[in-house]
Amino acid sequence: MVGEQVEVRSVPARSMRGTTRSLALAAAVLSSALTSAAIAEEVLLTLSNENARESSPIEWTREDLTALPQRRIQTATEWTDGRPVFEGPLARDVVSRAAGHGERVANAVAVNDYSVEIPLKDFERYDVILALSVDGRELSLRDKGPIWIVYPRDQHEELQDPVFNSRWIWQLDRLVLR
Amino acid sequence: MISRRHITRGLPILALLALTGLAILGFAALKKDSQALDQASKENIVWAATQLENELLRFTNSLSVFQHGHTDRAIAEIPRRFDILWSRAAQFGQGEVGARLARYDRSAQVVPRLNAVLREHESTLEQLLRGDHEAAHVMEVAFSTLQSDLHELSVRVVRGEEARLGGARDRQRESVTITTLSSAAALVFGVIIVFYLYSQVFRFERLAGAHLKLAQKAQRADEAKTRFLTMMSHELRTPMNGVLGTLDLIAQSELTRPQRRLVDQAGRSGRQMIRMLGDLIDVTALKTDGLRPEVRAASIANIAQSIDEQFSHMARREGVRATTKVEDPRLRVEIDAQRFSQALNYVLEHIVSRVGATDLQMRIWAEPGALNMRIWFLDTRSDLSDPELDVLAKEPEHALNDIASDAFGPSVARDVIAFLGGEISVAKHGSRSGHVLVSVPVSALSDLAPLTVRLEVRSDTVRALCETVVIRAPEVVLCDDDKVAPDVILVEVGGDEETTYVASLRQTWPSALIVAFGAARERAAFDAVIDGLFTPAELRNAISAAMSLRGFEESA
Repeated sequence: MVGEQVEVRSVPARSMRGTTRSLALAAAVLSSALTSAAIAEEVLLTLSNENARESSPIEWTREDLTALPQRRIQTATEWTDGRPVFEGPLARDVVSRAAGHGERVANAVAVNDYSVEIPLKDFERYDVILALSVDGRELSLRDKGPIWIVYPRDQHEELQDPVFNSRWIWQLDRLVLR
Repeated sequence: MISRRHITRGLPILALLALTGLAILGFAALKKDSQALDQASKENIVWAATQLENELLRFTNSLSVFQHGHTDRAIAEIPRRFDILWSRAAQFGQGEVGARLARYDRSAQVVPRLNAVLREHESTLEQLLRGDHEAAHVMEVAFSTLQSDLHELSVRVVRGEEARLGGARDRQRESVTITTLSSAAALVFGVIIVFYLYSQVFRFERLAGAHLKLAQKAQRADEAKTRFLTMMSHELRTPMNGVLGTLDLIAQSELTRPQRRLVDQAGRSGRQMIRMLGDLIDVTALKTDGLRPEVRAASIANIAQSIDEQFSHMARREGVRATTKVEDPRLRVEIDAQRFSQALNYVLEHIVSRVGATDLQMRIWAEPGALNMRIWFLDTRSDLSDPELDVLAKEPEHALNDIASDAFGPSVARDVIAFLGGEISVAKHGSRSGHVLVSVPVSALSDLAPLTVRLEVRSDTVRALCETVVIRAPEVVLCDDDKVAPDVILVEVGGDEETTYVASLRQTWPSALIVAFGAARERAAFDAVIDGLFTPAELRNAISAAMSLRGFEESA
């Protein structure tokens, strides 16, 4: 079903992978024998909170993110043709794991170090998702993946204001709460 | 030349049109503003263009690092940078942003060339992962050749976007100017209208003041004229009474036939003048003294009889055939009957003397809230004159020029009927017939007028019996006054001259019903016959039957 936001899966969130997988990733790249299990272990997103310096950053693999309740949003964008269907967990579900210390914004950083500050109110007011797939196809680095912040633009007219365009950050790598 | 009145009437329409035009202009300017704002606030594609250039630089830099020995980290970075570069290049042509970017690259085709190089060297990545520095060098050379072209593309995008935003700003300035001008025009126009309307209001106030003074002056003049007229009417009546008294004395002396005729004529004219003077005073009083109608209950039959009595002399003198049909004759209405009759008499006199009617059919009837009298004139001596007929209904437009004694009667009739709250209307049917309808508001009474009964009995005993016992009832009034027309004449029959006697009664009171009391020889001569003793109920039944039979129609 498309055309509106739909919660397509609701399973209990699993525990985060709190350890770095860089060595495993390097080994996998060098061996050219990347298995699907290894892909699942790759860290896609790092979530940290500047207001809680004592707590260590939370690392999210694809498996962790897909374990959260998924939402679908069908919407037009300025960077795609037609009205593709995006799917992924709600941004508020993800940031809630590190929130709770008076944060107001999330500094979203892409793999090319492009960053933008997103008010956390956006995540509360709208069903913003961290899209992992588009039209049923997993987002890769080559097509703005693996994570793309997607707003329900067609469902809320005010989200069509250009000020929100900069918040549609793709190739998301880190979220830092402030 | 356009008059001031036309300007005043046309100004609101003009103002509405002008303000509508300005509003449309303002709306168009606002829309233009909005479009310019939309245009200016579109996704900034400069960032996307420069990012492609940057990502190419980063990728070639990672290749360079790999070639200079930083192998482990570079090996991990190269595929990542390759994919990021791929995603940036793929953005061209996708969505609105991609379409706008592609337009800047339409001639140089840098991005398609970059895409081709990316696809060409995608398999080379495998060699890099195995540590092939030569392959890295080949790739670096291949990609570096595009660096300057991408830079030029970025510059084109930057300049193009600057020009686009400059155009949007120009359009915004233009629309702001239009909005400001239209608002200023609306303000100026509004101020002009306000000033003009203010001057008009001031002018109308002055005119109203002047008109009020003129009206007060005219009213004072009219009152003075009326007082003079009333005084003169009074003064004229006194010598005229002296003239009439003298004429009466002369008439009592021995006169030759021609002399008597002249004296009679002089007397009639004098009495007519007295009547006119009286009516003149009356009408003047109606207009100036704030009199109220003297409303009393009167039966329709009595009203009709009063009109008939006044008109009958003229009808006979002029040889006019006239019939009157009275509907519901015993129904009583609240009306100033004297003034109603006075007005009707003037109407009838005018119809005969000025309109020239020779055959009149009159009908008088009451309906809820009104008493009506319609006078049909079926034939006139000459073709009808519209002004002569219309003068009964409304004052002639050129009254001052046509003033004459003949206009007096219709004027009195109109004024009196208007005083009673009614109206006169006229209609013409062909060249020699028409009708006049006089209608005045009344409140009809539900009870019927008492029946006036005249006793024509020979025996005092029978009279006493009738008066005290037989017809003593509230709805019956005995009346032997010769001036009062009876509704019913109760005749004690008997004797040889019975038929002749009944005929003389009919001639004297043509509207009365003649009821025989006793054994009549000629029963057909009577309207009803009551044999032997009778009760009031029997009398009324007999009278009702006779009235229905007669239809209460009388002829003058």
